Amino acid sequence: MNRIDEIYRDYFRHEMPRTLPPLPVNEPAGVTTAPRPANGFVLAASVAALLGLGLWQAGQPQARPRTTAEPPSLLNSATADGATILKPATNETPNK
Amino acid sequence: MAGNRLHIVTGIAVTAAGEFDTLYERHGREVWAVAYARRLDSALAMDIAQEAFLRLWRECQSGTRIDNPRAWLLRVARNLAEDTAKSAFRRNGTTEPDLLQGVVGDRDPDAEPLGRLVQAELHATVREVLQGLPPADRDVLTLKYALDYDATAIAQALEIQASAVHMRLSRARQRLADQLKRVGVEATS
Repeated sequence: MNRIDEIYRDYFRHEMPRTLPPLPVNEPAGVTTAPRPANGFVLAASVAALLGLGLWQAGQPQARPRTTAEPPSLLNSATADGATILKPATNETPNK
Repeated sequence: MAGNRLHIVTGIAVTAAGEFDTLYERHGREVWAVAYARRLDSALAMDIAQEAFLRLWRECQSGTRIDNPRAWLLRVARNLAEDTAKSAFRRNGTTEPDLLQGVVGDRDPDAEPLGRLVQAELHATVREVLQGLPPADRDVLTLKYALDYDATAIAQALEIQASAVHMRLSRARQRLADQLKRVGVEATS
């Protein structure tokens, strides 16, 4: 093989892409395979769904928080130093 | 894609995206070659080739009958490449690929540093020669050396006479030999 052919071939082989990138023709712009629902229908369905969810939630009984702690009445008079904790409540009025 | 019948006559009717992919596999590199011959920019040529195929797809989707998709693709790629050259000229004041994209990157990291340097020098010389050749000559060169087409296949792809292929190849070889001689490289075996 001529040296010139070799040089040309080497050059073009370097320039040519190794593989062809995939062609995005499965869903080209402007072409759809399935009919699209009308925009108005989508909006109406969304509003109805939100409304239904709201009504359903309003009809549910109010959920109470579950707790395993002591009843809050025993802690009402507690202070940080624990001085008054578990002391029975008195009717004394503070000195003024 | 069952309903998307493409009106392409290639001996067998192309009926779906899978068959369009076959067309792309078969002619994608030829279309790239024609675009490359005009712009001497590999990535840009691939963008142009893809655009040509997407245009063909849209034409087929719109029901246009294309009797010779290969010739259609090559013509569209050629026109697109020339259009991009014109807009590049308007934008940059030049269409010289080297001035637009700088030094061509080396893609053979395994080569020895000296070998890479020699290769880069040779490639720069080839580029210089290619820039001095008419696009029609570069078409022939790209098909021959990138795709290994013989004169008959090149003539068929470009719809020219085989004698014109030989003439253009001979001119391109001579140009490169002269250029190499000028820079002190002996190129005859």
